[in-house]
Order: sequence, then structure tokens, then C-alpha cells
Amino acid sequence: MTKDNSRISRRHFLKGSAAVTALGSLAGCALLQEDFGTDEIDGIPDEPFRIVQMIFESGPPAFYGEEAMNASDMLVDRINDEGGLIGEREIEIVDRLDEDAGPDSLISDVQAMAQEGEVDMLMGIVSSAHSLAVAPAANDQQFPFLVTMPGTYQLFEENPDMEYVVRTAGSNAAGAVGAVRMVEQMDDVETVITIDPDYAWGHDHQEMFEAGLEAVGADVEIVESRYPELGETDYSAHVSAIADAEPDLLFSSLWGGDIATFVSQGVDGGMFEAVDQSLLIGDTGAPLLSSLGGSMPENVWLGGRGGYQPNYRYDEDEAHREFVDEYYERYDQLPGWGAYHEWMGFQALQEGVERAVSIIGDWPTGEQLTAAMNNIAFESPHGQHTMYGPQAAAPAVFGRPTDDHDLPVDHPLLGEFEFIEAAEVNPPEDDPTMDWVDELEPVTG
Amino acid sequence: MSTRLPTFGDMKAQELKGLLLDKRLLGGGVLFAALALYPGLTMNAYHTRLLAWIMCFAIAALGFNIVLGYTGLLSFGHAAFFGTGMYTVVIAMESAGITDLIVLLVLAMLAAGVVGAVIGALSVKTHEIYFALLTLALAQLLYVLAARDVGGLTRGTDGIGLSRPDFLGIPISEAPAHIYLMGFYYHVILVCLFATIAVLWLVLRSPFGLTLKMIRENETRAEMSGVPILRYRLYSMVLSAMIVGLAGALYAVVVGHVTPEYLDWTMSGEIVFMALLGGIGTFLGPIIGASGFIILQEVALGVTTYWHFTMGLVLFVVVLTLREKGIWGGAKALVDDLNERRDDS
Repeated sequence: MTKDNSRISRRHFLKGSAAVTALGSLAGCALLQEDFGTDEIDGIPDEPFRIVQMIFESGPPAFYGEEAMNASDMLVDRINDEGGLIGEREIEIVDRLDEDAGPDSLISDVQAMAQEGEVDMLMGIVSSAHSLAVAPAANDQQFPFLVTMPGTYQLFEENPDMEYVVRTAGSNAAGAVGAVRMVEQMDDVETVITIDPDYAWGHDHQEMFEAGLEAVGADVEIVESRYPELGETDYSAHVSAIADAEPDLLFSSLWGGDIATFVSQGVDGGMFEAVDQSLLIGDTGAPLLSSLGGSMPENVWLGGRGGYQPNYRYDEDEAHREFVDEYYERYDQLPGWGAYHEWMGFQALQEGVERAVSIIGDWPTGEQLTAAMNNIAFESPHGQHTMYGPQAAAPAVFGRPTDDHDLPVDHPLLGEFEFIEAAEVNPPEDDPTMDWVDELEPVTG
Repeated sequence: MSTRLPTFGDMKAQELKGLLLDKRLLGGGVLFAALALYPGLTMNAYHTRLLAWIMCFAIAALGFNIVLGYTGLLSFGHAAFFGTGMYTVVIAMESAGITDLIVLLVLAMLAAGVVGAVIGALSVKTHEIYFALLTLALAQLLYVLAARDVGGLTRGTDGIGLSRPDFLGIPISEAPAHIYLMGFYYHVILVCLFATIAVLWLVLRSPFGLTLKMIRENETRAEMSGVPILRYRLYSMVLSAMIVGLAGALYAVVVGHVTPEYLDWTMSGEIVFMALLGGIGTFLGPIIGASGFIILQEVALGVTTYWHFTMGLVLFVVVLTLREKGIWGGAKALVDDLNERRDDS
């Protein structure tokens, strides 16, 4: 595991680094450099920092939840081995709540936890719809909630005044607008077919992709948009229709088991031979490549809202290398998107506690802790992961399948990486996402 | 056929005295007082919310039981009425700027009643499995409309969040969330539940209710007696829809976020589950069923990741052993049996 074959667009990477540096300064990173002695810190509670995770333990999205739970267990052990948060307070995941129970139960649980006062933070959540229901409830209860996975851009646009909620997952704008930026760089793309899951995630991606293409003046036509059901098992009709239409580009935000089934049936139906190239942006990468094995077509771009690919900047980034190696050693598989999202969450928690303690010299309240997680930046596989206010602005990273990698798995991973900086795929803080997409400027230079 | 309801004016003083001394009425009064005082005495916001949740679904299950328990029609489309109640509240608040709770509840009941009339008109001619499938299909149409965000009103599967309504011009929505729930909204739901019980108690014991039972027991005989069966089925659907719509409207404020899942057939299934669990052959069974369902889910979620299996197993055992009597009917039968044995000895 020594050689990294990734290639980051130099222009984008340098621009991204500059932007992140500036934002990091604004974010008060100087505070993080302060040397605070824990001897002077008052009020560090004796009990561990207690977290409850809200995650799919059953139902189709449970595979995403399993990755997240694996990573959480690993990261908690790692942090505790070093003494805990700021080296002084261990973390304990005291309970896990199954998201499959639905928002009724989840909101009741939030109320119970807030009332009993025996939990310090709620963390996790996969479903965007659940996040939209639970986050305002947690905020009402003044209960800190670190949202780690959902990408709906509506979370803070619908609830702009939440003081107890932060989100470390990138918005779905990053994936959709990232795809627009990719199309801008492609030659010979005139016709596009989109296929997205028939719920908000899919419709949001399709609408942003279409609106973004129009805004940047791309000379392409979306000739057809298809919306299979979430959890569809038979894509043969979609595959045949797409293969017959022979579009220049296939765009999809299908994710998890859906994208694996779709690609598998697409390969069998000869779809990828009829399509020039594909952009599969639904948090795709190692898990999909693992399930498809050697049958993965090469004329596809995979990726989405973050550089969450095990071999992306593997050699250059020591923290990423350690994360991948430790996860592989512990679970005998490479980390997927659920695992990376949790990693970002725990990093935000560590940085937030350090920042708050360095400012107030005391263990923070829930409100102080969530405030301290606003406008920070921390290391991630794609460089600095930056919080614009209470939510992360992730870059878009895409790559092509290749067998030319040195990680110890016998399936392809991604290579030929394209990095598109966060500022190019996310709206400025406080700008409504769809308005910003409608006014998207073409990339120049 | 008369649909005249009994009124207190018809009662003699003796009957009124007997009614007031009725054990069930006294028990109901004590229960109402205990529930009304619970939040203030315990200051337990979680239990208050749990009770509010249970009471909303108790209203829904009571409304559903009009169609299943009293008219003998198994509907798998009652999520349409529940979801209509929820969406009416949120859309009226968001789009029309209506913030008064009473107006919102009335609008929700009317909207659900209209949907009930349409679905009823299209489905009451069918029987048994065909009725169940037709109501399910019609309700799914509403689900699809909401999930696809037709008309831009529902925001698709992500749903819409809603703020808290005011009450008769009092800006009570500005109170903190737990004060709003424990000091005001919980009691609104409690009053609605007991009002629903009272209204249904009177309606289902009126000639109208007895006619519904007659249709359930022997449709041919009812028809031969001159009962316009289809019209009465339609009436029961509309009444049922309005009550389930009220439950949905009340629940929308409790949950604070409305998604198409509340219009989905799985929600219809949950309402059927509640009614079956409590006992469809009894008046109060659906309330016990709603309580049992929600408490069972909360307990099962807390102790096992196989909570789906646990709930399925409980329903299996209840249906297999108690059949239509459910928990409430089974408990009553057990008490009667014990009393008989005591009298015999």
C-alpha cells in the first residue's frame, strides 16, 4: 500500500487549497493553535461524553448504517486510546436508535433523551427526510445534534436558526453541481439521459443538474429523465430504453444497492457499450466496485460530494492512510461513504471541543459546543473539510475505475481523479441553493 | 330510515341520573382528569409526548373502526384520510397563512371528509378483498401525488416542516416547545379524544349506528328491509374519514414535519394493526390497540434490533388467540369468565 495513482486536477487543487486556507483563517483556526493546558480547565465531567447514534440498523439502507457503525466504533476506540476528547474525557456510544422506526419514534426518543439529560449528543442519521424532521425537534429541545450523512440542501434553508444542529456531510449540491462542472470539461456530449431514484434525493439531483447545465450554457440536451422506485430490483426496462437511445452521457444519483443492481443489469444488457460515458454520483466508489468486481465498465465516472475513496490521496495524506488501513485491518473491507461521513463527524466533534475549551477555559455546554463546530476546518481525504457556518461545504471528487492500485483488494478502485473545489459546487453561505444553481457561472480558464 | 340521534331532552330525570352514575361514565371522567393532570404533576415531557402520540392514533383507530368494526368493511386506504388531515394543516399554514388551530382542525376534517366521500363513492359498491384493494389503490394515488410534489405543494419525499398554530388569537405558538406541548396542545388532543369518544358513542348507538351494524351482520336482510346500503356505507366512510383526518391534523403539530409516508399503505397497515390489536369488535378496543402498538414499538425498539419481528409475533399471537376481540375484548371476556366462576361457586 504505497503507490497512489490518483491524479488531481492541479488547477482545481491549488485553487481549492487557497480558498480553504482563507476560510480556515476566517473560521478562527488561530484559536485551535492556542496551547491550552488541561490542568487549567474547569468542569470536565467525570463520566464519558455520551453519544446516541441514530442510524439505519434494518431495512435497505442498513448497509450504509453498518459502515457508519463500524467506523464509529473504531474511531471511539482510537480517541479513547489517546485519553478521549482533548485527551481528558472518553467517548461512549450509549445507544443506537434504528432509523427504520420512522420519525414518530425518533422524535419521541429525542424528547426522552433531552429530558433525562443522560446523553450529551445525538449523532448520525442517514435519511434526509428524517433529518428534516428530527433536527428541528432536537433544536427545540436544545439537544446537540451532529448530522453526519444526509445531503438535503433544505436542512438549514428550511430551518436557518437552529443553534444546536451542525452537519458535517456535504450537501447534495456538491454532487449535482460537480457533475455539471464535469460536463463542462467533456467534449462531444450533446445528449444526456438521467436516471435517479424516485424520491427527494433523486429529484433534487436531477433538477440541480439540469438547471446547472442550463445556467452555464452547456450545449447539451437532457433527452429523457427516468425515475425508478427506491429499492427497484428489475431495471431491465430502463436499461433497454437507455441502450436504445444511445445517449452521449448517462447521469445518475442512484445509490447503495440500487446503483449496484442498476449497473450490474446495465452491464448484462450492454447498456454501457451503447452509452459513451456515465456520471454515477450517488456516493459511489469502493462499495460499488467491490460488489461489481471485474465487471465494472471503464467508461464511467464515480464519486460525489467528497473525496471518500480509499485510494484517493492515500499516499499523500497520512491521516487518510491510517484510517483506511485501520478500517481494513479491523473489518477486512475498505471503508465506504457511511464510514467516511462518520469520520468527518468525529473530527468535527474533536475540533469543536478543543476550540470551545480553548475559548472559554471550561467544558462547553451543548450550545457552546455546537457553536464551536461552526466555521471550522479539519483534515479529510480531500484536504481541509470546511464548515460554512453550521454545515460542511464539500468538494466534488470523481474518478474512473482502474485495476492499477496497490490496496489489498482484488477489485478495481478509482483513478484519474478529478477534484472540483467546494467553492465551485456549493453556494455561498446563506444563499438559497436552487437560486444559486439557477445563476451558476461557467468555469473559466 | 331515520338517522335521529338521542338527545338529553328525550331523557327522563331518572335516566339522566342513571347515566351520570354509570360506572363507565364515572371511569371516563376519572381517566380524563388523571390524563389532564398528568403533565402538570409529573413534568415529564417525554411521557406527555408519548401520550399525545398515542391519543392521536387512538382517535384515528376509533375512526377507522367505524368502517371495519361497525360497517364490516376492511379499508386499506385510511392513510389517505390521516395524511390529508396532516397536509391540510401544513399547506393551510404555509400557503394560506392560517394559524388558528381551530380553523385548521375544521379545515382538515372537511378536506378528509371530501376525500372520504370520493374514495367511498368509488369503492362502496365492492366487497371484502376488492374493497380493501380499491381503497388501497385510491389512497396510493394520493401518496404518489404528494411524493411527486404535484403542484409544488408538498416538497416531495423530504416533506414539509410546520410551525406551531395559535389558538383563538392567543399567540401561544411563541411559548417554548415543551410548554406548548405540556401546557396546551396535549390538552387539546385530550379534549378531542374524549369528544370523539362521546360523539361516536352517541352516533353508533343511534338508529344510524344500529343500521351500520345491521349491514355488517346481514347485508341482504338490511337491503330487504329497505336500507339504502350503499348510502349508509358512504356515510360511514365520510364520518370515518373526518375523524381520521382530525387525528392526522392533531398529529401533524406533534410530529412537526409531514412527509408522504403518512399517506402510504404502510400507515394504513399500522392503523389496521392497531384496530386488530385492540379488538375491532369493541368500542374502546382501538384505543387500547393504539396504546399497545405504540408502547410495544417503543419497548421493542429499546430492547432488540429485531423489533419488526417482535411486533409481527405479537400481532400473530393476538389474532390467533383472541381473533376479532383483540386485547380489550379478550380482557373483558376474561373478567366476565372470572365473574361467572365466582357466581357459580
